[in-house]
Order: sequence, then C-alpha cells, then structure tokens
Amino acid sequence: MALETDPRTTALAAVVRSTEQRALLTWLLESLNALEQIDFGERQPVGVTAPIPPNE
Amino acid sequence: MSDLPFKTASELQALLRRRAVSAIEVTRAFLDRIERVDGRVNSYITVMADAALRDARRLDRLRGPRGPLHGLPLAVKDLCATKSARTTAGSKILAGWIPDFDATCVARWRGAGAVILGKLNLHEFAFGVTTDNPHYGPTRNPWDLARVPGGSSGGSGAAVAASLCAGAIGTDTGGSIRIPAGACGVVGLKPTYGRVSRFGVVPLSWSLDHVGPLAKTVGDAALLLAAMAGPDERDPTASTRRVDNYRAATSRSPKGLTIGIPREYFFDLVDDEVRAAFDAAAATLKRIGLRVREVSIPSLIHTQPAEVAIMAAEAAAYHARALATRPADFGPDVRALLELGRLIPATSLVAAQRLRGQLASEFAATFERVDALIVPGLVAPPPRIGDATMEVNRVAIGVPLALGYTMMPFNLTGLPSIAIPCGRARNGLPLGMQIAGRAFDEATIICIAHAYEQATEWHRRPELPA
Repeated sequence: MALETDPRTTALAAVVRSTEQRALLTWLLESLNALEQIDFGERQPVGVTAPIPPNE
Repeated sequence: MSDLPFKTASELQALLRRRAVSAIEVTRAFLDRIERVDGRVNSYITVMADAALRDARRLDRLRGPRGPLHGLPLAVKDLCATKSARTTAGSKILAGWIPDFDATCVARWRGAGAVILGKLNLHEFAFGVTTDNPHYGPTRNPWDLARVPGGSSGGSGAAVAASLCAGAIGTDTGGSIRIPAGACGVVGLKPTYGRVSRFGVVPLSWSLDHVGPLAKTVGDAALLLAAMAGPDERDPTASTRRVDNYRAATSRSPKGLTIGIPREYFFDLVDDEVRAAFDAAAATLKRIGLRVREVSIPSLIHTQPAEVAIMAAEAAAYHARALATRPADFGPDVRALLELGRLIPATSLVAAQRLRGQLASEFAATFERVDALIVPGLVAPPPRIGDATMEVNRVAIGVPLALGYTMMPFNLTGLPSIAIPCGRARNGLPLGMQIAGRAFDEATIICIAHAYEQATEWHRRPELPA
C-alpha cells in the first residue's frame, strides 16, 4: 500500500513531534510494509509461536 | 591520588586476594574519584557511598572463604532493582521507587563479594541510544565530553571508561550494552538470551532484553559474567543450562577456529574508517591462527524493522498504564516511541516474529560451518549530545537507527556478542568490533576476543575524561 493512502500514516502522524521523528516514522512504515511482503514460501510455519514448545 | 581506580578488575582482584589492599581502601579510592570527576561525566544517578563503605568494612572483617568478586567496587545500571536504594530506570515515573529487594544480577554480584558503589545513568527506561536523559541530565562521553556515551547503558560505559567503577551492569535490548561499550572504548558482553536472569530488571521488551557486564578488558568481562550467569527460579526465561568456565576460556588458544564474516547487511552502513579498522582486525585474527571465511545470512536485510516493531510493541504493552495516566511524565522522545508502539499493526508484529524465526534458522545453519562471526561495532564514532542525525560516510542518518544498526541482529536471535575496541578514529574516538557466537557459547567468543586483545593495544586507554 502506498504510504500516502496507508491509514496508519494518519494515525502515526498524530504522535510525531519533530522532523526527526517524522523521518523515523516514514522509514518505519516503509519497512513494515516491506516486512509484510516477505514470502516465507516453503518454510512455513517458520517463526510461529508454538503453544507447546517442541522440546517439552 | 590513588592509582587503584585505573587498574582492571582482574588486577584489583589479585591485589585484594593477597591482601595487598583492603576493600575499604579500594572503595574509598573509587568514591574519591567519583567525587572529583563525575561532575563532568554525570555517569551516576545515585552514589551509594555510605552503603558501599559499610559493605567494604564488612568484607574486610570477613573470615572464611571469599567470593570471586571480593571487595571489587562495581556499579549498576539504574534499571536494576537495588534493596533500600532508589531505582529510577532513568525516569520521573519511578523517581521515588526504593525496592525492598535486589535484582538477581545485583544479588549475585553482592553474594560474590562485590561492593556496589551506586546506580548509573541511562536513557529513560532504556528506550534510546544516547543517554541524553531529560530527568537526570545527559551522561557525557569521557573521550569527548561534548559527545554522547551511547546508550541506553551510557552511564555504565562512561563510568567504566573513566575509571569510576571497576565494572558495571548493563542491559541490551537493541545494542544497549555494546553501543556504549563501542562509544566509550570498553568491553561489553551481551550474553545469550536467558543466560543471565532478568528478575528485578525493569523491562523494555521482554523477548529482546538481556543483562550483561561492561568492563575494561575481556578477562574482566569474563569474571563479571561468571558471577551473574545461571538459572533463576524467579525468571522463567532464565536458562537451566550449565554455565561454562569463562575465566578458563581466556587461557585457551583460538588457533584453528573458523570465523565467518556475513556478506549481507553489516557493511551496507559502515563508515570507511570503521571498515578499515575492521579489516585490520580480521587480518590480526588470521595472523594469530584463525581461519576466516565469508558467509551468507540473507534475512539480515529485514533486521531493523522487525526489531523496531517487536521492541516498540512490547514496550508499549509494558508502559500502557503509565502512558494512559501519566503521559506528560515521560520524556518527549520516549513518549513518542511508546505511542508509536501502540500503533504497530498486528500483521506487522506477526511478520516480524516470523522473520525472527527465519533469521534464527539462518544463523543456526551458519554456525554449523563457523565457530563465531565477526562484524563491525558502531557504524561510526558517536555523535554530539543533542544531534538528531550523525554522518556515516558523509550521509546523515538518524542516530537511533545508525547506532543500533549492527547490534540488533543479536537481540532478535538472542545470540551472544561481545563488543571490543579495535582502533581509533581520526578524531581520536575509539572504534570497535563485535564477535558473536552460538547460543550459550560465550566461552568461544571470550576466547577469541581475549586472544585479539592480547595481540593488540586497543584496550589501553588514556586517562579519561580527556
């Protein structure tokens, strides 16, 4: 989703208090979008919290 | 003026062991130095002079076996609870908290014979990397008082570098032991997640927080870690695995070990002079008998957003009540980060956790082929107090992202990493590197770091503050 149309941009912008924080926010939103686009492929279910640890 | 504060913890330990000096002499020497010097550095929030002198006298009267830290004057990041001494977490919110218990790490150091000199300044609630604390004032870097000492354990790094304690406790959620170690030219050891109990330590992010020592040398760090590591029934995340003999690791030869240098990520944002110092360090390690090879860990490129998402969300969860009832009592930077944490989408947090799992499996596969990894420490020397950005190869980067850049992979994966000095910048400030290892294999990274330290002079410091 483009940053300007991402509803998180508006919500997060409300907490920004400085130019530096705005830059951090922009970076974070871009990065989170990239994170959500990662293709974990055949390795699923990698990184999912197990209700019972495998070594129990 | 006594020269005792300028000795390493291991040297002091030897003097105390053969009764060449008493605990009260050593403690007085450090308290005198704090009195004379810390007005310029501001590394302490609370100096516990009376309690320290009382403990030192008690230790001097002790008959029978002495603990491994007997009489050593140490200090504690003010994030760790100390019985009958205020514990502020660097905040206004906890300014009046006087715990009736010691954090496990503090209790273990006391049990080993340490004298606790006081509580060290930090970035508010450990949520930042500069130790520019709005409530207790900024801690200043002893190498250049106009610059930050790093953070969040900035008081710990500055106090060790300025010989205001013989060693210190730090905590590390996104680099907060290793960043001040690098900025202040000392050794910082972030152990494996769960190696040191977090009971009694105010959390920043439960799944990323680590406790460990900052010290003048690798041998000192080994001594101090050994005295705090081990299982703790009061911390369910503390590991029950046997603790290795870290002091013995400093006597081992690293010859024949293989170290890896990751191809991805670590060198994408590193100043040229840091890179040059790192290359020279790698050459030194080869010269003393280690094999060096390149390795690939592709998921590293997503490290920072995953770390920030998890850290901000967990911190916002911990501070939710205070953020709702006392928002104005937080400093502006920490308040903004906490509010940001409340807005991290659940989908991002899940993606971050999945990335974390993938990264852990890539590191595990790498450690089947190498015994340790070497990577840069700070990407550039620390910035001036108040600067929001810092230059890395003439490009302005936000300070939190720049200082945490090389550190965060070892918080996400929980793997142990030791930061050690490996050079000097053109402006005279220290440069550093990290040696990271397999889970619970602190002994190997201590062995390599100690061998490097013995082969170089970078751990020797001028008298600080400069």
